[in-house]
Amino acid sequence: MADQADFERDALQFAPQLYSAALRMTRNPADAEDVVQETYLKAYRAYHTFQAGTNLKAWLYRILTNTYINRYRKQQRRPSEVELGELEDLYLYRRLGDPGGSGASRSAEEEVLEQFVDADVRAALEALPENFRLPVLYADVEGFSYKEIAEIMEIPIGTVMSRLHRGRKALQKRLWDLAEQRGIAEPRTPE
Amino acid sequence: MATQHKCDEAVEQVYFFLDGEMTWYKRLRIRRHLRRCSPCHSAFEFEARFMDVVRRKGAEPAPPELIDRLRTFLNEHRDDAPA
Repeated sequence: MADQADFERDALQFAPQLYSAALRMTRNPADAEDVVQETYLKAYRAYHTFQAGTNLKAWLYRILTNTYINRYRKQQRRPSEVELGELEDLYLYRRLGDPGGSGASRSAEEEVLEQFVDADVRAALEALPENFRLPVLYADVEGFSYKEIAEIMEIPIGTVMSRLHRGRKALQKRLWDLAEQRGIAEPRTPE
Repeated sequence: MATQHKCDEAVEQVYFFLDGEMTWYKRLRIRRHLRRCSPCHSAFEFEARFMDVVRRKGAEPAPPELIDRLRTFLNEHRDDAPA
């Protein structure tokens, strides 16, 4: 059992990360901060139920996820469980890369990756349907394991895997479409 | 082709491998394949770089006053009746 008096000391350090995740969820700073505030208030009130020594960061993300989902589901009246079509493996690599893997093309790939500015990556993340966006955020930006994400989102680990893997491919597709629009990447004819 | 099957198998597992969500035995098999197969090796490296780009560019700094504002908010609301 955790002592409520320790809450601020132990929990507030994660606020900047929670905010960053909330921003990708709500897509705007004021809503992100509201969600984080509500999360911390709920967490404060429930802190006596937190098992000291277990994963506090994951516990906070679980409350964040519930807070976000409850708020936005109420507004939308529609759970945004969207399906993504099947996307091939190595979506971006196959379009950028030379399958022979010569040194020259490798640096070209790297260059294309680095041409995506922060705003591109953020917009691409925010464009993912919610059920795919959250696992990608939690794994790739926040560094949680599959098991932690399953606990945070309260979904089976198999669902985490399939949504994360498909979400990443969809993210790659979106960035590829952007690269094409900008003429950064030459479309390659599939072999 | 004898190795195509191994390449397909490796590519299917790329995210499990890079996420460290794999048994040591499967990891060993894939490592062995990557040492021998340069196309798969570059594909895996690319995916790792892509994930690194998402990690670096997907996060956003919070306002510097966020923690102070939360502290104030908690002080003001901690005694409210739960919603």
